[in-house]
Amino acid sequence: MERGFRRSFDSLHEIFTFLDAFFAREHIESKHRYAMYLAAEEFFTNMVKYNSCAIPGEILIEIARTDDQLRLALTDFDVEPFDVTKARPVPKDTPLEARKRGGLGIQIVREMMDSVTYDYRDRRSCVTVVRNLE
Amino acid sequence: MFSVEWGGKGDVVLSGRWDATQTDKAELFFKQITEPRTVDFKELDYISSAGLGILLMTQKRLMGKGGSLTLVNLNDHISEVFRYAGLERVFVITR
Repeated sequence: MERGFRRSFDSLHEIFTFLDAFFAREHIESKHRYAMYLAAEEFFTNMVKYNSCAIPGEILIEIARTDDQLRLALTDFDVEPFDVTKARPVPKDTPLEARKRGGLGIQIVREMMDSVTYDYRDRRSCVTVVRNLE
Repeated sequence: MFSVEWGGKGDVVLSGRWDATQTDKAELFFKQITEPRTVDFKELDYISSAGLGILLMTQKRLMGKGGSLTLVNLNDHISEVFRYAGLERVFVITR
């Protein structure tokens, strides 16, 4: 299932509705749903924030299921590369005084997913996450 | 829909989905917090890093004055999010 979403935080509600329709169709358990909502939000908002020079348009979200995996891909078009998989994780034992406001989203998604990959070609930036269904 | 409001005992009651679209509303509310408070997650279904960031900044502000937020009634998914972010060491969390 795939759909384009306007490059705006305001699209989040539609994105969750889109994912809900897929989850209902595929009878996906709540623990997997949460992980996918989070991945979609964190990467979508990341793309909106950090590819602000992109021509206003849409980010493509694709979600699919094989027998034992969920796969979610977000593709942004006509943008510079920005490899989110290279973001340095925040060590879990970082004391409060050293913590900054951002940087946690990608880290949490990495923990929840079985793989997070990045691909850039022809000015298309694509993040794909895979979660194994137990 | 997300809501953040004062509960009857002066605690903070969250409900719904706290995603990035709720940042302004949440920030405005949490800026009011200047002393230790309990934050009740019982009706909150979802939180993303946007919400965690606001909680973190509030906690930093309170800890600077020797206080803390106490987070209660986190559901399993949200508890997991805090654990993956290493934030269970930063907040007082009771189930």
